Amino acid sequence: MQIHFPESKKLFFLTIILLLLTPDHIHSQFLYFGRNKVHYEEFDWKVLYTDHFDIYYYGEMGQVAEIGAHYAEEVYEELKVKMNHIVTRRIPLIFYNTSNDFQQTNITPGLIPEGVGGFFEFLKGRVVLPSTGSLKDFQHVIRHELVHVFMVNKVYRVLKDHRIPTNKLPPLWFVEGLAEYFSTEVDATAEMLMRDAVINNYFVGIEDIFRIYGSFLMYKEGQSFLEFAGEIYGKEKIAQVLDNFWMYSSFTEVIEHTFGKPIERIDAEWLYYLKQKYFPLLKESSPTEFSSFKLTKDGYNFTPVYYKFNNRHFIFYAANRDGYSSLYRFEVSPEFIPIESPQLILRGEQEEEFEAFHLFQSAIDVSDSGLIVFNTKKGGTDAIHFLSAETSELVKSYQNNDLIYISSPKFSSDGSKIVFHAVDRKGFSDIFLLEIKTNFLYRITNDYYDDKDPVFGLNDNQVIFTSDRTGGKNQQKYNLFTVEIPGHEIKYITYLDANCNSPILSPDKKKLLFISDLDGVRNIYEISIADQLFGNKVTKISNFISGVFSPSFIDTSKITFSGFEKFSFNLYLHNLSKPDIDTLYAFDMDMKTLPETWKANFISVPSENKDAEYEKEYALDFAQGIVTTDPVYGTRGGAVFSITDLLGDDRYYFVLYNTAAVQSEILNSFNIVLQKVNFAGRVHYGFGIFNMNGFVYDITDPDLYFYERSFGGSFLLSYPLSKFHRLETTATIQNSNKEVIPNVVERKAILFTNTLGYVFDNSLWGPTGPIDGMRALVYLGYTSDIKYSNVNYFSVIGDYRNYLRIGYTTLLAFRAAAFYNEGKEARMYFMGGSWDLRGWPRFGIRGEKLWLSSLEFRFPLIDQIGLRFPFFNLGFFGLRGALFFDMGGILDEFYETTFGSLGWGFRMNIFGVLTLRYDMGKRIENDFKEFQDGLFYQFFFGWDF
Amino acid sequence: MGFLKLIFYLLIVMLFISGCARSVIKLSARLDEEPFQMFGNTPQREFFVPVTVSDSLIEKWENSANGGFPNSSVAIYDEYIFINDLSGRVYCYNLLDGTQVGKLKYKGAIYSTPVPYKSTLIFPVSLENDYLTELIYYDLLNGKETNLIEIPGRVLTEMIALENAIIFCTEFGSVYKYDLFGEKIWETHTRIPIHSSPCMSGNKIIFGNDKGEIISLDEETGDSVYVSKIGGTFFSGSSVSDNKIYVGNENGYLYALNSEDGRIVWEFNGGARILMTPAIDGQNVIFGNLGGSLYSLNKFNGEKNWETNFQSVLNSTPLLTNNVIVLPDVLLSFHLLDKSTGKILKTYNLDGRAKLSPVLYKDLLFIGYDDGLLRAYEFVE
Repeated sequence: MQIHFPESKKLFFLTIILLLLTPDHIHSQFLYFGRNKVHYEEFDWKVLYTDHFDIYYYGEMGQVAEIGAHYAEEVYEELKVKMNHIVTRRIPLIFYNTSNDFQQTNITPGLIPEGVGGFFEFLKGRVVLPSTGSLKDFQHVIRHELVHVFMVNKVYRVLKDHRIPTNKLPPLWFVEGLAEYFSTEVDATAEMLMRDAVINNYFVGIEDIFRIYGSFLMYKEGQSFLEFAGEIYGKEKIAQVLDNFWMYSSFTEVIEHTFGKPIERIDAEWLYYLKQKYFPLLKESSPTEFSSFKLTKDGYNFTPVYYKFNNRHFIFYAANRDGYSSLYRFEVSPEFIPIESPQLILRGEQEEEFEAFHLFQSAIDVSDSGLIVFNTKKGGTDAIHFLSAETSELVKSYQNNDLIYISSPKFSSDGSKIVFHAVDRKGFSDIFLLEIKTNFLYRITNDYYDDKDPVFGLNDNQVIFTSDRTGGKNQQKYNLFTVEIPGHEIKYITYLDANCNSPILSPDKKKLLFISDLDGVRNIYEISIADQLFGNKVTKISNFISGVFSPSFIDTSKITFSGFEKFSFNLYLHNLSKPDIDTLYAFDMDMKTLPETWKANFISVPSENKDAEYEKEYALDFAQGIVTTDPVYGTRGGAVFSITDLLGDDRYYFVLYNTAAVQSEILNSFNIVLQKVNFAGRVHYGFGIFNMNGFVYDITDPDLYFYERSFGGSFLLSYPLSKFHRLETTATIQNSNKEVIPNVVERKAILFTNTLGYVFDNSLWGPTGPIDGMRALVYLGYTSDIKYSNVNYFSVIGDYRNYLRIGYTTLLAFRAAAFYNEGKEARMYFMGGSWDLRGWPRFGIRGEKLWLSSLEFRFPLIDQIGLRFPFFNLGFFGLRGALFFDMGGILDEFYETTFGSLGWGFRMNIFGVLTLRYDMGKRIENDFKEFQDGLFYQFFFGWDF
Repeated sequence: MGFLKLIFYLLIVMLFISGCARSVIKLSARLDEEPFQMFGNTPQREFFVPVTVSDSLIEKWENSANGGFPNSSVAIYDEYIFINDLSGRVYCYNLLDGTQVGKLKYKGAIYSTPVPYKSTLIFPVSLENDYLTELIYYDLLNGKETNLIEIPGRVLTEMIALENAIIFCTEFGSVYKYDLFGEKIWETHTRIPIHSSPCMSGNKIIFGNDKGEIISLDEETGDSVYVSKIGGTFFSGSSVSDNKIYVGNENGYLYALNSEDGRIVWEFNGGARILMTPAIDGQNVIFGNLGGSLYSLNKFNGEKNWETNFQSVLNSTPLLTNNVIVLPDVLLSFHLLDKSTGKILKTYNLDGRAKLSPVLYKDLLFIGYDDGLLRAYEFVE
């Protein structure tokens, strides 16, 4: 509608557009559909310079940045020894104070899912990560990402030293496994996952690891393999893998060489090692579903709470059963047997109000009066919501701009207050109290320790919480504490060499239950309460093979919780009065002399190296030379460059190419596009200039073939209203001279084009395209020749797509679109081909006014195909089938005919980056009266509509 | 044909010719009574030159190899200097002006300093993708290869040059002795991987292995003399002085062992992995670790004389003179240190990571750094 790239330049510009837009901008701005990365905050970046790092941080998070800087320098010293390698360049570390702020980073253009803990960006070697409030996690992620930095740098050096092309890396399982192996011990999550995988027979060896490519299991198996290899073959062998990387083109051979055995043997030894470790658990522990009653079957189910009303018993909980995290409930009998299937009570992740549930980190609660409290991400920060358990109506929401991340709100006994955990702008993770009626917020703790999982204690003036403030020999372990309000005196409840969390008090306040990884995975433990005092005796009351999460009491003898088993999180009912396993035990804690809290180390640097203002430093992102050849226009060449600043806020694009066919045309045939786009604030804007000359074959232009000389400028603006919808506007002014007959200017025009668009997208994607949600857009445009009045037309585009899920992976997709241009020299739209009207010639149907509609039934065929070749193995995932029906027509001067097609096909995701489609069917011809003879067949790479 | 096109075609032809050029080193060396023939110069690998030097250097020449260098060193015979690289090349330069005399090109990587004899150059090429080493005997006088012997496993450590034979270990755990004509004298298989460069103590070959053992073989027969279990993988090469073996391990310990039976005489914990071969003079043993600490110990009792820390990893053996230590540093420099105190006298910056162990020969100091650059300096007052 504004800048028209004619057909002759199509190949060239297609390449350029692909370069510019993949994967950079696929997420949102200035494109058809896509969710938005909303920049709620304008960060005032500062820089801290240490010996090896440039640390970027903002706002009030100076203390956390200085602690992180200290960790980074510590890790650098460790890794140089482990890897016999030094990174000689300065490493940029970019810190965010929470995961919510981190999701706004411009360093990677794509949307960052909630679970991402940080990333290392290979192009400019940047490390980007949030502090989650836990300094231990912060340290772990810094370590994890710096292992990537060292590994990538080392592999590069090894290959370069041997003059081997440096464009290869070890496979992902090793890359991530190594990062975990060098950055943390096997924690309760890793242990839980590996136990479950081995005992339930979904463990895969290195030979078949392609089958779980990219999954969390793959990360943890990679770590487990290196733990095994380090223990059996020696820790020095792990770093040696990198030294030996040059020796073979196959990484499997590198592994075989380093460990001195065939991969089949190594795999067998690893499995034997794991079985030796885990099979004895079968004797002393039990599967969760044997010792407890399983309440749910499908999806990922968390944080159950029990509530009874109208003499009916319900379990309320948060779950992801269909791709969206939401609130559900189901009714149970008085014996707590589910008597109905789960009912959705609040749909999450489809609108801004409930943009994200922190499913793995948070918990919900229910008051005696029937209010459910839960938290979601809402815009730039989290909000607390109160929902009526009986009517499922939202009663109230609370949001505080200083509390960025919130989790686990819990009611007081009278239901007038809640305590919750939140991370503030400093990056501190603390406990807060909110009076519901007055919105009065009271901060209970205020320091860099990670205080979380609060519950009201023996009375409403006491709060029990878990914290890593533990000092002494168990330093930084998460133990349970109490704090009195007011007074703020903090006391240990537990002092264990383990991580304890999710404390809950029994309704009669006679016992405190909590979860601890004392024996490797999360199980439930109990402390008795007598005379308003917590005892020193800890009793283990569950011995599940894998982990337990977010328990809550139903009554004094029953609890419900979320348990991990068979790679799934389900809800369970557990009877406390009937321990059915004899390996439970009790022990006394030594609580006589309890240590002071530990103190974090801050980096020590000269004052001039602190709080420096961030000055934009630009560097090249990519530079690509392109030469295209076609039989009509001959050979032409050009280049495209992109540069950004270190934080990715400003992007400059340069496109330069020449369309001269003979030497004398060179000077007149330069085509230049310069464009700047700024992503720093909530409003993204761009502006640029262009100059384009050349012969044009343009199927969307009535003159079809002509010479055009045009230059001008453009301005773009995009305002995301939320993650799901945005407004866009563009303005372009273009001086265009058109010559249909050489040297005779057929049409002069100074074109001014305005567009205004609204885009909505809350679709959920499967392997081959959207599977749920809705996408819609409306564009209005007006183009006029403001000097000669040679061109004057307006444009309307409307496109609506809806995805109606029938089953988990089965759906009905519907599309209706209209394209309308009206006025003098209005351009034509086109359709036909596998993008839209299947079976018809590509771009074969043209008109100024088109309509199009499609209906497609998508269903699963095969989820995974594994191919085993002599030298490597390959896996393909998500083979899907489709039945489709398309129809469309041209509405120019009068309505001519309706085109249609129907057929079937299959789609397959290739390596997670694109979809291969093969369709066959019949055209519906002759104004929808008859089918074509035979069948059409179409082969296509691209996503489903 | 336009002039530019002609130039273009000529360039293409020249590139083609240079690409196909035969790699050759052809020279006529005089008998050198004191060549620098191997890593550490002597089979004991002392890295000590008994001269007193200043702390001022001037650059004499620089030349480049194709690939990066390992932590080996140059070898020198007569007026020729030889250097291997990790892309399978051996280069020969003129000692005095650095001009390239010739180069040899193989597929693989050469980890060991080539061993020059008067008219023969011997070096092992570790192959890529095949678990083999090609032991090359090259006739310098006629500029041609005289022998290529395929040996199972890769040679990733330094060779020992004897008067009439060479000795080397493979990663595979085997030890070989060949004469100067390529005839195998003996081979011994220990079956434990070896990543530690061997040295000689009298007629005993000494090396450590991945299992943390120090092994001694009889130089004449290859028979085992003793196996001493120490603990901790040995990646560091060993050196010998006054019947004591000095060697460091992965656990950060530097050991002084009795060379007769391999028993520990003393040990010193430096706290971080040791990869470099220790350097020894009359009184001291000098070694660095990956933690960046350089230590001087009394070689008789293991007492620490001094410790200097660098923000670096120290993995290349330093050179010792009477008064100065020349220490390569991967942080793009090398240092001259006062041998008695460990204080840095002067630091010389480089454009890449210092990799080679420095060699001082006829007043010239040779420093090798990334990417494959060899530089000669001269000490000046």
